[in-house]
Amino acid sequence: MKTKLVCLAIILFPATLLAKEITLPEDGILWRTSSLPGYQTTLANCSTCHSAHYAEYQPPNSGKGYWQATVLKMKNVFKAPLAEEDVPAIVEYLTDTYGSNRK
Amino acid sequence: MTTTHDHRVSRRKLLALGVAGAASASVSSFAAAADSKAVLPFAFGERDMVAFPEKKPMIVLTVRPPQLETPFSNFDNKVITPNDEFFVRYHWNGLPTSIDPQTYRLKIGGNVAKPLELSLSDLKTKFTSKKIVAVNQCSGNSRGFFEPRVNGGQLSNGAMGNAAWVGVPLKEILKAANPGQGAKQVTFDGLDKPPLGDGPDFVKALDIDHTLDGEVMVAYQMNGADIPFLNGYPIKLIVPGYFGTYWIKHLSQINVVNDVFSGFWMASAYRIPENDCQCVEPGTPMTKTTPINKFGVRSFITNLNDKSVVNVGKATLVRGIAFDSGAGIKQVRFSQDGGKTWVQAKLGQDLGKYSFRPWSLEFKPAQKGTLDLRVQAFNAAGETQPSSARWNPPGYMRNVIESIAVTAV
Repeated sequence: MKTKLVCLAIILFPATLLAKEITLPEDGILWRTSSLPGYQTTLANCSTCHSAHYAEYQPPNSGKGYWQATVLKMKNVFKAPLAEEDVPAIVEYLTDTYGSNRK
Repeated sequence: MTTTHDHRVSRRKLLALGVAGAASASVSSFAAAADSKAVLPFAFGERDMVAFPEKKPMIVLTVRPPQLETPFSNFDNKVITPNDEFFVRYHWNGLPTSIDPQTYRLKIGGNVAKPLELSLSDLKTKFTSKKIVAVNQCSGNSRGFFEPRVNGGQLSNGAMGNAAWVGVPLKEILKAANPGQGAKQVTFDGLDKPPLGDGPDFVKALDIDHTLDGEVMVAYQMNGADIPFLNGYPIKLIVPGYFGTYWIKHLSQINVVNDVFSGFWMASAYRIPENDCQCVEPGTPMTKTTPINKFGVRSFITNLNDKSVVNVGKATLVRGIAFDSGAGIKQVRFSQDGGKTWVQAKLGQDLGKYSFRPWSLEFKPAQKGTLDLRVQAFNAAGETQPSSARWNPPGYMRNVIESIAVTAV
């Protein structure tokens, strides 16, 4: 019975059945919570393209210079649709949350 | 570390846009939560272990897009890295999630007399296949060990693997397309795209002479099976001896160009210092740079680690792997006293000059306490590993003589 169904399915949907498909997991690690306004701005902007791992695992010596350069790279080079006026708040949140002050 | 704010709506939207057909065979399913934890030996080294499609639980560098590292103990006692343990590295989250091998096409264009559109069947039947065993290693493999630390993907030593690749020499494909006068480089693009459309697409380039060397290959098989989805199904560019950045996944477009390709991922990213050591003074910027290219020589102990306990005077097996960029490993030596005295290791199975080369020997731990075990490989070109780590700002090409501290009792 099972074999018959499979054969029928192959006849009816030959191409789609052969497509290989994956389902990727949810992010797992989320952006660290903060009372800083840049937290919400980060959720609204950065999560569109990548998970929080990119910030989570940066080394302890990641200072404001790194976060500033990275947010600007996301905006100017990777073309993230970030408003210019949102950049300082995101940088402040990342520096405070993921740099040497990290809890 | 938790939040109630749902910020993943846009991701679902993006995924929905990316998935074309509904009725296709899903290759695996899994829990979203971490299967277990791993701790890499540097600050902020706590990691989740998650099983992605067609993969065993791997060390997660990032979930979205997927970047997965092989747990180092998996390299022990095997020359070939199994497909379900092989590392994964994407740059953009606009990766395909459904690929139909029937309609898949590889296009060859640019400065060629005869542009081509090859199906997988064309690749498998119209060309003579070739097999090569070759190591793929991420440019940033071992970045987490840089001191001072550098930003970027904080990898331990597991962003590498060795596989038997079967496919078509790129030379044969290019010959069929017939590059025109003035051809200087060849560019390679895959199906993975920037999620929002106008970021720089991940496109890499090789010099035309390199692409015609008969070794660069379009592979459709990895270790006797289809290439896993996350390693580039159904076809992947194999560039033996060169860092993984050139090994384009889901290869879909090859263009012959008359200039040095100036895309972001060649002209701005993946650059190393252009000097003999490919390094700069730690903590200083790079001045003159060149695109990253070949691996340095590396070797590792795989059956012992910093937690191992050995017995003084007792014959103890130590083994591992060595590799280089294709001159071939000629000699591996081992020290139990931090490099003061060395003994030769015995080289194992030779699967080709681009492969991991296993090595082993027995040693008798000389004294109680901490032993600084080191391994150093030399290749047929006389190149070896430095005794102190070289440094560069992007954290590429680490190949220092590895050292582990075991306890002798």
